[in-house]
Amino acid sequence: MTRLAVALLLVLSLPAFAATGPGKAGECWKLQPARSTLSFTGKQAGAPAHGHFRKYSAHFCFDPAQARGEIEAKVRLNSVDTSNSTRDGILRGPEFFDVSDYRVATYKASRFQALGDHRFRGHGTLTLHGHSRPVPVTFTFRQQGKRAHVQGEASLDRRAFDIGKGRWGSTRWVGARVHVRFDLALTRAGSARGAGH
Amino acid sequence: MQWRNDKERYGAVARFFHWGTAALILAQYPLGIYGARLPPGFEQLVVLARHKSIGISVFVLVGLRLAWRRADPPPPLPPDMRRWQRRAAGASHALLYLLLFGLPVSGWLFSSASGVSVSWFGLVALPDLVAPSRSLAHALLRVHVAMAVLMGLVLVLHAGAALWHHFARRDPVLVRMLPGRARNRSARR
Repeated sequence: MTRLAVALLLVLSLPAFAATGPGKAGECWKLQPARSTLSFTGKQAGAPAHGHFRKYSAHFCFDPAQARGEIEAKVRLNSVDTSNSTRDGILRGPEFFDVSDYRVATYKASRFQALGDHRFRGHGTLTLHGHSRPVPVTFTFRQQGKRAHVQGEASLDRRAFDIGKGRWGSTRWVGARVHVRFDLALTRAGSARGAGH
Repeated sequence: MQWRNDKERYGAVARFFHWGTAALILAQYPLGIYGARLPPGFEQLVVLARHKSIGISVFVLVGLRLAWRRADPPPPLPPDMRRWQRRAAGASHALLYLLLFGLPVSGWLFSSASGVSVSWFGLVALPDLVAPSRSLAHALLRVHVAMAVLMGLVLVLHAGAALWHHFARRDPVLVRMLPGRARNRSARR
């Protein structure tokens, strides 16, 4: 479980981005939290452990035609929910997320690559628990009028972020890999640009 | 080695199931009680993960054991036992089997309801039986503990009855389940 946290990621956004001008970062979108999920799966004692984050925000500007954009997501680590309050408490504690010192994890990506069929890879950086590491994400971006739907995933090693200290460092009881999934409902933000649709 | 039961004694397979189950069940009490009392943390995770793995082993073992029992019925009780004694023996054994099945299943259900998936020694991940629910988890834990207490009582009865057979009735009911005894040991008594 635990590990999870890590991840977080992805998501996007664009704040203020309109300032950089159209064409550069693409159209900007607002996250609809009620219709979005940010979840993760790790391994605990050999069994998958699932969780999600209840609070996160994203700025998302993306131009699918050119695979360009700016994404920044922030995840409130104390909003972790693994359906087990004991486990959540351990995750928030000093051996894992240490939320009293590291409240937010941030994912930023500004380099993208088109994989075809609405799929993209983002080469971004996750900052978690005081460590910044490159974490690629793959996602689909589908736009329908004023709405867009982003679905994607990433995989990371919790140890790269020093998540799981001491005896938790062994991967026998808590796996190293954490798989992160995001399913984001977006609506067009304002009228930053007239370009598209 | 005699694998199957005959009229006088249990074969090696039945004895393996009996004593293997006994050893696992006896290990479960300290693991479960100690694990439940530990503060949340690494040690509790490890102790309870082992408790669950052993419980799953019991679950599998009791399934195999019942299947084997069908194919290889146990030796009959001594013919001079009274009717109520036979009934008590039958009922307590049925209850034991029920608890050997119910304890792992209630524990597994409890773990699922608590949002913690179960694996068998980290090698085989088992499916969740129910969705996470705090109130359901709470109720299932009570059922699990109640079954464990009942199992403890029936085990005392079971062991006491075995000693009664051996020392009071001086019949071969206990000896025929013991490992490695000569086949005619009971005849000597």
